[in-house]
Amino acid sequence: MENNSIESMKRYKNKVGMIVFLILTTLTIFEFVIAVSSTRLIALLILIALAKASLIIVYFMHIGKLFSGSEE
Amino acid sequence: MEYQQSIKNNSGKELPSYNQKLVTNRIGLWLFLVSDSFLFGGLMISRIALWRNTRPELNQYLGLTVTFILLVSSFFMYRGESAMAVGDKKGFVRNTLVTLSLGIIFLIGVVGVEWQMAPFKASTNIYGAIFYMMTGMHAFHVLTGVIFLLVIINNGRRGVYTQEKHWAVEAAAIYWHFIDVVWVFFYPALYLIGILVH
Repeated sequence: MENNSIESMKRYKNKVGMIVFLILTTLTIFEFVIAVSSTRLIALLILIALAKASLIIVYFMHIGKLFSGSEE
Repeated sequence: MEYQQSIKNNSGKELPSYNQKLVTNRIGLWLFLVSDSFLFGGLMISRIALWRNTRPELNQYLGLTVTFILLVSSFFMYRGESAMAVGDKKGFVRNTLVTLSLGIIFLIGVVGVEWQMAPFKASTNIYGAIFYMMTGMHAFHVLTGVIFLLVIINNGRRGVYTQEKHWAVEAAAIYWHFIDVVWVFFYPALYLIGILVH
């Protein structure tokens, strides 16, 4: 039972990591294409950078756990 | 759980439990990251003030490649930390080794290749000064992150960390992702934003 829950937790975490990574990659390619096609869309490039940073801070850096006293 | 219980020292004074220390450790690390952000923020303001809406001619494909390498390294760091959180020590070491390798490749890409290919020196003009300062300070952080990863891999192999106690792994992972967040802003600021200046 416990092994199953550990395995499902591991699978869930890997799935979340993969989805966030794919979104980050897509946004990076998107900002590259935008920059190559136009020099006027600075606000959009800043927005994309903010979105990417937010994803990393929330999902990879676990800012939600900041005041939690658990390793979970 | 012993991690949640307070322990008394020889004079009967209650010491904080592991979980209590975890909260202060996390707050301490995040405060350090906020203070470090001011350093990078200052560099970013220098770039905005001196380059304005211009950018130097840099190798776009190399910039995109090193950015991708750092993103992949963050993904493997996340996997390594997640593996330790479920007690998979081999998975932790394997994934963290991949992260370490990608971090070294990133350093070679920026310092070993991009710095050699750049059409200016640090003293040539404002483009050189800002470019080498921003990439150099970031590369220094990557180097310290690589050292941090070496330490946790070594400790992980010796069985120092457990599913319940692995604060150092979490700290190294958060630090590594922070390096990634900095590059998320540096990459467009150096390579993408502004009118190309030859």
